Amino acid sequence: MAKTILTVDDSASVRQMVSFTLKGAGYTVLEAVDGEDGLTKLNGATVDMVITDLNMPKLDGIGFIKKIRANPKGKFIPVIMLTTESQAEKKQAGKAAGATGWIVKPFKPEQLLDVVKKVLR
Amino acid sequence: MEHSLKITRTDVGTEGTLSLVGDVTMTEVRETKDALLEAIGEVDRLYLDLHQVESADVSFIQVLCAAHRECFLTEKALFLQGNVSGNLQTLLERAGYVKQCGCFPAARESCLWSVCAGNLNFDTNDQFS
Amino acid sequence: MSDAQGLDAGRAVFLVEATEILEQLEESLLELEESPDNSELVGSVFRALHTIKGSGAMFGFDRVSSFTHEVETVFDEVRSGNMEVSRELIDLTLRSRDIIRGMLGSDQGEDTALDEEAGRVVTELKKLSAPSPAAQDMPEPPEAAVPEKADKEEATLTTWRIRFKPPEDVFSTGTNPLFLLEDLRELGDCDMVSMTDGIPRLSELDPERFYFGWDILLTTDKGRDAIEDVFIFIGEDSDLKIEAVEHHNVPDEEDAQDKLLRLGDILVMRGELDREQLSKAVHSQKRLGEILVERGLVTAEKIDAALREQNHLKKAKAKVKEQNKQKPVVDSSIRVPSSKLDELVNLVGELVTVQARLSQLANGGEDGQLKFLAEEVERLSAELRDNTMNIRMVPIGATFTKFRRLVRDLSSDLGREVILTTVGEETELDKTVIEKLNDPMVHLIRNALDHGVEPPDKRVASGKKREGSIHLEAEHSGAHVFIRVRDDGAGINKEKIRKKAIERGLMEEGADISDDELYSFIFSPGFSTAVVVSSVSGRGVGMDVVRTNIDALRGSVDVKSVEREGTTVTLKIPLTLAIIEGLLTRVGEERYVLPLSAVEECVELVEDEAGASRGRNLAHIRGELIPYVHLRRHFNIQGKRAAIEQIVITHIDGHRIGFVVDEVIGQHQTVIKNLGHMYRNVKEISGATILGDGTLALILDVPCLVQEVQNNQL
Repeated sequence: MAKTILTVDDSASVRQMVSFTLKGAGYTVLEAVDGEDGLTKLNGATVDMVITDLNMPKLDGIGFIKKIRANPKGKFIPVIMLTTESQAEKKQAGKAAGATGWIVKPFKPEQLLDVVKKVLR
Repeated sequence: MEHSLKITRTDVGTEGTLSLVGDVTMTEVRETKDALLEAIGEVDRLYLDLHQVESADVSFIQVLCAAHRECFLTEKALFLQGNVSGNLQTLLERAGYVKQCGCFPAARESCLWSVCAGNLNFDTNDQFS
Repeated sequence: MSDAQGLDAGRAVFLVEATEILEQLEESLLELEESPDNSELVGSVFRALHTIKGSGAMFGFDRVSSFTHEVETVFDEVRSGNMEVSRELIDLTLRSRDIIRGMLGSDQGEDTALDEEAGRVVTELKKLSAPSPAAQDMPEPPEAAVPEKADKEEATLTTWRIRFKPPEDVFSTGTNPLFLLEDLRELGDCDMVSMTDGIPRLSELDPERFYFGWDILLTTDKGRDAIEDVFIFIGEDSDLKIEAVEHHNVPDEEDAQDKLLRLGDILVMRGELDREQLSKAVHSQKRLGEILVERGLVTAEKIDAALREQNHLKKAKAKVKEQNKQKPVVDSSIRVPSSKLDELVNLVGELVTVQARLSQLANGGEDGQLKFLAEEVERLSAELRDNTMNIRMVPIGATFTKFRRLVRDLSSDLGREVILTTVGEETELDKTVIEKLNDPMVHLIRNALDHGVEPPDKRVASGKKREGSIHLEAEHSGAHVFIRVRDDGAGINKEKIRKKAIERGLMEEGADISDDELYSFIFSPGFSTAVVVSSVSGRGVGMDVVRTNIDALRGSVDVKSVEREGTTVTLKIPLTLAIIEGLLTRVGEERYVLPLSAVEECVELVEDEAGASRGRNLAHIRGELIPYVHLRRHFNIQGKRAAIEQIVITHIDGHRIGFVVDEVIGQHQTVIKNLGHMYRNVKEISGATILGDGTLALILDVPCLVQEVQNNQL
């Protein structure tokens, strides 16, 4: 049974890259453009994992992660945040909000898959 | 997860068998805990029938260890009835729970997992200095 | 030793070392070309460059060092996955290797041509690698190398003790701790015990929090970084301790391998117990584990974890031992100039000769003590001889490796596509033999490439695979080594050889000769059948060199060829040049030695009267007629024939031939001395040896004599 991964990013190109990579590895991928959209998608399906950007309009990444953890459907699922090297404090905030791990941008498809396999098995 | 408790009364006290069927993961862990706690309250000797457990994770093992501790402290007895399901056995082995002795000295005799240890025996000869 | 002297000695060592490293580098590069994804090879190329750069700078080879730095920088990119191995990269690195060798050779002298070439290679390398800030002109100081300790942890198999207690809120970060355990398992042999002592009673348990911990033993060669990577997301928040318990397969810790830590020691090491508590407990009669648990000093769980550690280490050691058994242990070695070895061999030769005289003297007399001593000396000198010979034996692999480069370069020069395969690299031969094999083999390989393997298009047209194959093979057989050079090319055109041989007056037109004889013409001086004389071969100077060199080694050459399918040239080479086991015989006053490896048996001669009457020498050996050489007649030795003559039956290249002598004296360790210039052309004698009594014995060249007998029979 293919696992479902939700990718949340306001940048279409990042979403496409994540989506393309994960679909290629056999995952089912849902896309959302910001946190609010993400929560809607999360409620509408069974999601096994979330990959989210931190800087997004409307509901930003940190707020989104907090809401995922408060939601019974997202309480224990892995959440990976996309961050940049310069955002050390954001990384801490994300972890405090309940993120499972992070990927530093820019990253390569293989790095993404490595992390996904690590937290999802 | 579905559970059922069967109680029999004997001369030496009450005995019960708690059967857990289906998934016992994080998602069901509160339910599992409540079922166990309730069963321990009802009987003096509790048998766990885990052979129909399907998906299980480490949160389930944690609940069972806590149940064992609860029983020990309230002077009740807790046993596994028969073999556990294959899934659970694998989990216990992979995660390092199948071992010779229990978590605290006085409770080692009654450790639930000792019966799952089976083939894991150390050769203790001349290893003790 | 003054600093300057030390530096000079260091330079000398470095030059030898660098030559070896450059050879390895070449080998790794050629292999890397075939399997560009092999990170081990990338690593070995990088290390080779790194060593040359570092040591080069230390010993004042600044040009070498700064040039190598440039190449190393590029390979660092490859190593860290930023660059891919390409044909161009291999080409440039091979060129760099040659430049480094040139720079080492030209010492500190100016060599503008070399510097210009170096400049060109650096420019191209930089073009090849993605422009990165690291590729600047400043060479990094060689001290900036990876710290030694980390290096050791990286490279060697190590048992790690990992204590891991995830944060209590681990579930609510979406992490499944079991996945981390599975990640660890993928790194190596892994034993884990859960630590359950933090668990509250069920009524007090918050089932969404996490209380377990693990005590893990992992034996892996992946190094600390790989382990830390597993915990990358939650390491900071966890209670995590990673310690190295033991490094395995470090050669100088061999003794430690067999020692097994005792439970008490492990508990102390793990910090569960102090020495004093331990010694008190040990004095009681019961088992230590039980006592400690009873006294509440250590929980049973911790004893269990310690026992597991003991068991894990035991298993790891057994495994390492098993592996060490399988792979040859790299002995520490010393470098000795080969002239010293030659001297040693000469001295051993003299010793063996003197020892023979001593034995002869002792056996002739009645002195028991002298006899005993002579026997001892005989035994010791035999051992000394074997050991000395053994020192000179080296595997042929290094020679094969050299040919890979030759094949690669030649095939691109000649427009051939060739895959070189080798077998039997581990076959050992006397060092001097191997050195003398180099030229003949170069010629054979050149020949195979030039005349054997066809151009790709021609091959395809004749239904063959586009890439030709050249196969080098070494094989040990008795006192000889067979070396084969096989190609799957066009084969030898017999008609062309026949024509050429007639043209050169080597045979008469219409003569009926065997294939073997026909093929042997290609080894005649000036014989070449190539239509176009190419730069590589075809000048006809090659193949007679092969014959001459192999003859000088007391070896033989055999050619087998099938037209359109390929050619195999087999060289049969004696293992060593210096000492052979011989059979000493007497004819009149003369002594002859036959190589024992060729001897089958010695019997009394029973002549075949019928044969003798027809002028042929044939002997009856258990009903079989065997041709023989009557040495007395052959060498025109004066005196009467012995009443009962002995015949020594030899077996050479599938033929059995007898040699008739007056007496078989016995086995003799023969130190071969070359004959003087005057006798170089005497074909039937391959050398001489000095006997115990100081007289001379001649060593018969059995194959040569056999050849002669066969020719006479025609």
